[in-house]
Amino acid sequence: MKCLLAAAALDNEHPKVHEQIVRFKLAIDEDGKALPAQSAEVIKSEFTLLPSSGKLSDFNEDYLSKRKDSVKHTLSALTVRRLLSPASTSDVEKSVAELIKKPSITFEEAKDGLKLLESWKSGEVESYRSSASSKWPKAQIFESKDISLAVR
Amino acid sequence: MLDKGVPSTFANLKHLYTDTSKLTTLPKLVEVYIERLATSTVELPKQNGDTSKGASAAFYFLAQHYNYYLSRDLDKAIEYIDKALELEPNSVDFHMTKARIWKHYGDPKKASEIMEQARVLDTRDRHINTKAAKYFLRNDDNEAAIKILGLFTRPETVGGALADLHDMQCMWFLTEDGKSYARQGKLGLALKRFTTIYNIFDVWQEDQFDFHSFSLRKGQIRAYVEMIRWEDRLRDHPFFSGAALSAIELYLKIHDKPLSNGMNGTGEDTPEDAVERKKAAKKARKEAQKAEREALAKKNEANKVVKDADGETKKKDDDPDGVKLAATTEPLTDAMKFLNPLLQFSPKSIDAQIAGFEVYIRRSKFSNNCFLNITKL
Repeated sequence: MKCLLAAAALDNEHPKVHEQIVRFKLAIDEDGKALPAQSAEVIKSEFTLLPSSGKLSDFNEDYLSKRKDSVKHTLSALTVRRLLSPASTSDVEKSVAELIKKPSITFEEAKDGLKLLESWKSGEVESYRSSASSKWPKAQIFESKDISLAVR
Repeated sequence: MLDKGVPSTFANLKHLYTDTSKLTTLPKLVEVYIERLATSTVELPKQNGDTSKGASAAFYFLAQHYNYYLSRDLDKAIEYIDKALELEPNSVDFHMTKARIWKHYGDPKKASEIMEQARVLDTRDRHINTKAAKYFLRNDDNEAAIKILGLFTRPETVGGALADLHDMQCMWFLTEDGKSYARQGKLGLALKRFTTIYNIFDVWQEDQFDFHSFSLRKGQIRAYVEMIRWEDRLRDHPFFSGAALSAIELYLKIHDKPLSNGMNGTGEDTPEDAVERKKAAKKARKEAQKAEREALAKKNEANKVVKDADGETKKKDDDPDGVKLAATTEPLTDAMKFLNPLLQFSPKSIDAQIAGFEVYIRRSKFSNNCFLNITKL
């Protein structure tokens, strides 16, 4: 929590901080009973990064709607959505894949999107790659795995 | 400046690019200059056979302009740098800019090829040698990078260029080499490089003790006080932070998905790996047993003292590939070695705090750390 509070104090808007706030809350809810009462009390009083009432999913959707123009923040919110509702995985993956069509997306953001889809072992990876490679035709990273292996 | 072919023209002017009107005006001025040269209605600058002045300098400026992140248009940049190279085909600077453009295209292979062309144009220049090696590392061609760097290391060093770069504490190389191995999934070698950087900082800390008596004896009090201050913030150096963050990331990866072969296997779990996994695991087990037998046989030889050409003694590394580092059973404890100084000396770094969260949440230390901290206050 010390790190999370420090990170939030440095940049509350950082996409990773949003993700970590939710993960911390889930971890506390899961393991909270095993904690000593004193520790639980300290966490309760110090961890004020979440609104006192309301669901985590609402908090996440609110975050997404406020920052939908930023690809990095959208990726963070979609990661959280997938974490909170594993049933929505395929929808989330499709939403991530859709981000590549945004005209404002940068090369670095596109790489982040690909990394995320790959880490989820998503079926959207190849379509994402082809969309990205049409946008950045000279970039090796978006080449299909088969092609890049053949080149090497 | 274009008439004189000043190579740093763009570098001198790019600070003006924060102002959008200046950002649009500067390339226009250069285009007008090129047009003027083409129509030749005015007297051309005296070049005395030097083709790096006038038109080629103007094309070079425009290539850099379109390669700059605030005014990026890579297709135009490549067009202008090719025009500049037509006029001045042996320019190292032009080749370097062309390599940078390819880097921004996201093609490190092509970029490294062009940087190598630039290096060949001036094989005695250490700067371009370093650049070419770095571009090879970014293309994950570690062998080629070592070969090039070997041109400037001591040939008589035992262990070759790599050993000399370690001796010289060449941190940029260790960082880039480690990151390259991490990209390739060779986690052992990557951890080896990052641990070397950690050890170099340890050596610096140890070395300071020699200077306490030395500085006072020589009466260099100011230098001494400066050194004392430097010691206090030794590990807030970006080289340490970079290596520590990369090492923590690798240890988290090992924690989340322990390596199937326990050594320099690929960290990724691709479908091809899934098919080959059983085969690879069997092979790895055999290799591990073989390595264990060899290690046992060489037990007395390990850490044996060897002498180099100058007669200096050196310890032999018993884990050159970082196999032991990657085979750790306690990756989170190992990550703490890097994390503690990072949080202590770079508390204002959000990346450090984010890495700290990732380690602590996996250790389920969400209460103790904060609790201890708060009770101290």
